Amino acid sequence: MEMLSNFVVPFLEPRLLGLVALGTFAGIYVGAIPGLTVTMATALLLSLTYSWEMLDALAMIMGVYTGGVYGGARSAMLLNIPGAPASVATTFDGYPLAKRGEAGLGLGLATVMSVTGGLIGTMFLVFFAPLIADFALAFSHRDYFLLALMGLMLLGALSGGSFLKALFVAFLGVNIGLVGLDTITGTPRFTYGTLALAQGINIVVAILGLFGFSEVLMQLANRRKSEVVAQVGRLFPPLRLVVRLLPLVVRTSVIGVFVGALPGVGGEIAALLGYDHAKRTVKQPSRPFGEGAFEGIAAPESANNACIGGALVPMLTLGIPGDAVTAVIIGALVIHGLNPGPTLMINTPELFYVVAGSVFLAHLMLLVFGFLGIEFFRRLVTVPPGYLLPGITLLTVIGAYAINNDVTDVVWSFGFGVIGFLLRINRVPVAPMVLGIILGPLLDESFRGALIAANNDPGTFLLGFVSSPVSLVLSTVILLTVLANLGVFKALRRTGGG
Amino acid sequence: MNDRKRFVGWLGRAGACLLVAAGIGGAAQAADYPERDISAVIPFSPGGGTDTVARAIANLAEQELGRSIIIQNKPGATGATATEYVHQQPADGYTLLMAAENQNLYRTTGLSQLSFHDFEPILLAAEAYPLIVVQNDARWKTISELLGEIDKSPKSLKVMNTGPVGISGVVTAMLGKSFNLVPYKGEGLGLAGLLGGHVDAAIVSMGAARQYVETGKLKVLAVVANEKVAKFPDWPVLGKERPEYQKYLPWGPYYGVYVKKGTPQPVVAKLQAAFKKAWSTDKFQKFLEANSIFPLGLSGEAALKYQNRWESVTNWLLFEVKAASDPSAFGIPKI
Repeated sequence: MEMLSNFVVPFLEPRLLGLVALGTFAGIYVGAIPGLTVTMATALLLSLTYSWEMLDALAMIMGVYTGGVYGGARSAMLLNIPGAPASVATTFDGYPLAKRGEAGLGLGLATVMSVTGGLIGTMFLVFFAPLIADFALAFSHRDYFLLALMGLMLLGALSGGSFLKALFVAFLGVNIGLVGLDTITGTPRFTYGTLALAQGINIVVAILGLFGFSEVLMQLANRRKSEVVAQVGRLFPPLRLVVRLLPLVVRTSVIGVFVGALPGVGGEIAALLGYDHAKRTVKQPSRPFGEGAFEGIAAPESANNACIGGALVPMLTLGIPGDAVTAVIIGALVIHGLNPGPTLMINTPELFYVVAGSVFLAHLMLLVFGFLGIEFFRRLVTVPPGYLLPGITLLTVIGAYAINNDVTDVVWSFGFGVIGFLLRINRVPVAPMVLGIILGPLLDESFRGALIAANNDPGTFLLGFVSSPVSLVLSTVILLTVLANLGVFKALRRTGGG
Repeated sequence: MNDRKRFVGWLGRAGACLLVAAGIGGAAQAADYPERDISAVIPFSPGGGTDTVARAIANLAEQELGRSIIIQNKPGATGATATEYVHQQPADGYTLLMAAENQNLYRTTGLSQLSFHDFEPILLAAEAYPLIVVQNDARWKTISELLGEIDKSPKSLKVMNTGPVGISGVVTAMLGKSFNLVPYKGEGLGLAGLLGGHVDAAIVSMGAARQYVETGKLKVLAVVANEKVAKFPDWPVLGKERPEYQKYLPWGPYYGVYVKKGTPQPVVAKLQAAFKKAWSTDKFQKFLEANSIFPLGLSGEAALKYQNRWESVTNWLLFEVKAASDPSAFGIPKI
């Protein structure tokens, strides 16, 4: 109980309250700018808050973290450019919804669901942190591989008609993800001896190009066709809709928490798995998926905010980062003289609750700040292309440059813009390529890691899939999903039902 | 016409003024250094070991220099991207490279033609000692037991590995046994692998593993060093347990501050003084102690000597396990 009283510290201390609010507000807008990621914002804060009190710095960082993860949804919906990799899945239904003239409602729904997911995530952090940490440690290379496979199964949903085309670009994406130094052997792959390629291709650069710059090229190519959609309707999602989506959102939030807790994978995979889950379990969506389904927004948005609570679990209990942002926060703790690790909970238990309390508070702030900005943001959709396109181009350049302060990345984003343009005019979807780039490195490292752990013996490797409980559960889920999609099974079910 | 003549004349005078100004500027550069903010390039991502040490010392050094040190993370290609970048900047002391030991290995691993020989060390701030750790209830009591088991049945033990040129890669090369090196992306993920029981042992920096030992989750089989660490007298050291490894030790990753070679000597001296002062502050020393990093504080000849020894030991070890090309091709002597 005494510990829980630390949870409310950020609520009662005006200074902390103010810093959480400021952080959340800033986070939303930084997150909404494509290319400016939460990781980057947190790293900037690291320098800014160096001389601050520890708790002040943490309060602000938690605010930025929360706001930033949410902010990415805005550009994803309004411009079809995900603000960060964690918002890629939000474009699938968010942008079609905005095109229907319901951007306001979409943003409102995203706000409510992000807050719901974030609060669920924080609750899991507060009450089940040790359990979740044990779960995360039970994951071996083999299980990460299975997780990546699950992500890859989303491919079917993104094919937009032709599965072969989707498969082709996904493979291309996987290969792009492999460019750079092999993380296992250090061998350069597809680098043609250049250092620019040896550093690999940043996923954010690919997203900026494939979604952002290619959109500019598309609109330039058929300028007359682009029409301004009049925005109508409400901002607040009706209560009935929220209640109807709640069971789904609880499930996707739990997915988000657990994916977030796994060291090394973060919001981008949580959101993709959340979307996939919605697509598979919701039989009668409000509208077909891909055409502005509310479920397609609620699922990834709740999952990526729930991920925050999850990612903080290994950070606070073990000192091991759950994602890229928590890696930076660990750096912040070190600089402030704390030792993130298992002793953090023992030596400074109050810190755990203050952090959890700040995240909880930040999500409540999100509810307010989120709705405040919508009225302004949704007008973005009505901006004439003559102003919007140069704006997007500028954002692409700034975002790409900001990643590593490197002009090479700007050139890359233009290159990906052209690739995206060529794919789109040939009616090939670009999203599978991003899926490939996100999952490629994970597939590669985990598969080879698992094989090496089995001494490169195929028998031992395969046996692991049934002998380890975690692997067995994951393999079964994948197997059942594949079976359920086979024609034979579908036919069987139809006759059984009829 | 007249106007134009006058304009050309004015242009000439202005040009001459600029030239003179530039000349004075060059001479005055060192005395007035630093005249503007200095940028410090960290070759790794924010939050990592190199990043935190660099930020800690840069924040103190800027107070000595009277100008801000702007931190810039340029991760990629194990630091080669940032190294090349700093090398492309003018040698004026306004771009610092906040490097770790990796630069010693670029040439033999083919990452870059640059090495520390292309930079001037301002200060080698600190070094870390590797620890060989296993789960607390593991069957090995000593490092010799573990090494004995791997001698009997090669490839039977899984050791967490962060890459062929990382800490575990070099130390396993030093041990010369055929472990099954299971790859992990970084020490944190690797320790999670050990805690979860997916590998048998891990070789990581002391700072990364210490707390797990203190909380009874892991136990230390050996500190990779010749002498006992004063703070942890109970931890066995490799050099004592297995004297055959003494010749390679001490060995560990280290952190330093560099400028491009050719930077004017007065500028280098000014930076050296500022960073040495920052290094000797209580705040920085406490920071090092809290993170189990050991102070070095080397500059000038001493720094070069330390660096050359490290370069020789490591490159030749890696060459033996085929993780690097022949060091003699780059004039790196064998010790």
